[in-house]
Amino acid sequence: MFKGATSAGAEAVGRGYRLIFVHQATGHTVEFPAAIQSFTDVHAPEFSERVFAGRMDPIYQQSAVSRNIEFTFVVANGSVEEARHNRQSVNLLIQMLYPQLQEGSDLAYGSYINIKGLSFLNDGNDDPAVACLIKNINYSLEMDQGFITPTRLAEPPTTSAARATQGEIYPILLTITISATALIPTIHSFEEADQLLNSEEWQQPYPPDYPNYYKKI
Amino acid sequence: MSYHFETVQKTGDNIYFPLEISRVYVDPRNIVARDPDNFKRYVFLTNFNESFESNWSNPPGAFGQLNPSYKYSQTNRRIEITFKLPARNVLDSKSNLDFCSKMAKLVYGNYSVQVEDANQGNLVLLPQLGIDPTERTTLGSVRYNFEGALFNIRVNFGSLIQNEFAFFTNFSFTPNFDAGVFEYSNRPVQGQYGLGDYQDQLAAQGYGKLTDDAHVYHFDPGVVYPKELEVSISFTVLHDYPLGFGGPRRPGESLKWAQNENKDWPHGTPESYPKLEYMSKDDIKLPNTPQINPNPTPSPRHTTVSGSTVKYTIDSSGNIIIED
Repeated sequence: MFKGATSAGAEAVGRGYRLIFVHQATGHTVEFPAAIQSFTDVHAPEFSERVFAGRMDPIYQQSAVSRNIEFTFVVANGSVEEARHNRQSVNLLIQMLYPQLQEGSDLAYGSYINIKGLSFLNDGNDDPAVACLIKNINYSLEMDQGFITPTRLAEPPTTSAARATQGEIYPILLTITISATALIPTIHSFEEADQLLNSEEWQQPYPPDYPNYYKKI
Repeated sequence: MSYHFETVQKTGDNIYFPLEISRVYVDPRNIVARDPDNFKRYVFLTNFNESFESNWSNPPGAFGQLNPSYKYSQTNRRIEITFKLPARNVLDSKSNLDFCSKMAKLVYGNYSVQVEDANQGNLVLLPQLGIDPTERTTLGSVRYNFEGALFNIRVNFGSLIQNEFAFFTNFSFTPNFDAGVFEYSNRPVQGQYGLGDYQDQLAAQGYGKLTDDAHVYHFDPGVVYPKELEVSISFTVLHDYPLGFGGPRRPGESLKWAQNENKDWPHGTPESYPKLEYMSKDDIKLPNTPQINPNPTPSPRHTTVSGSTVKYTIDSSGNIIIED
């Protein structure tokens, strides 16, 4: 995250508003100021419905539940230096949607991505990161906010340094929307299962605190 | 690049970048057959939207299973761009329309032409045989063979799209009539010219006596040239290099970006700007790939026209050479 004095990054670090993505397969990490514009969390049961003649209510057969999240955040560029840094950060975030390639074969393995920093996304584990399967990243330029460029030339660039930055234009604001399926944490250890069994909680394969919209992790 | 109004041309040349499209022609042996068609224009961007869609197959899991087992399939990169093409004079408007005409062709796919020989019932490559279309022959109707989508289009748009192959899925063209149009005028000037004709002639000579924003009439009766066009294009990017981490260009480096070009992807930064370590280039020897002979010896072919056999060969430029 770019942390220049007047940058959004410096403000975000000061307040702890950080949005962190970790690519599980490679360990690559990228961080943005958590300038969240929207957040939606849908817990959707998957079921089939059957109706019968003469029977008032349908019969439901539920198979599983999926947790689908969608959130939008903005990346603001206050200077050319910040814009260049953010471009590389956004590039890495996009690259996380691509697989790890196997040498000498056509095999490619996708990776889960841990998302950390959205307090609504906690899943009841001690680890504040939630493993997600990101299905879509939408990258959109906010035209009305304008652009930023290192070039201020009234005449064509003559020096090699000026030519190197010719055509280098960055949006002042860009919007990124992420759609993902969050993995539901499961209890595997006998110890945890035993605790749950002896408590008055309902019996379930996921932690009693899941999902958790308010508890600070 | 085609004509631009002076201020747009200057701003574009100094600071901005054009939308540049090139269409590469390849023959059936996948050899570049001729120089690519290039066309480019400075556009006034109103929307740029890029979507990276990761596809995973999701086989049915066990009953009550919390997390299904996902299997990675592919990631698709789709881009939608909307822009305006304003025109300050007739020539500018014509150039805008010409640019749009060329872009509209990109969604129509690839065709080849054959003609049925009425006597023999087989198909002949008519244009290559050099038959005069006015001459009476036994050849029947023309057949156009659809050869599928165009996958030989490259798009370059500054650092946002770095000369990538693209498959165009949509082209939308809307003249904004509220912005006005350039009209035909036959009003006499200097007792001899029509006003539109006079201005067109001066424009053709490079705007000597006429300032370029005064060229607002033309001499094409029944035609209007819009002052503003709104264009929207959508395409899917088709990458001709590996994408991911590790892979054949990064032996032993499974954490590095597969492209191995010391170039930021998908959006570029200046060459002089330092790249992150995982994007840096490794000097590796790629495995030998079979070399394609750029000048292969043409193999003789033959076809039948009106009962007589015609021998021909196809040269490296894709031309049909009839042999005696």
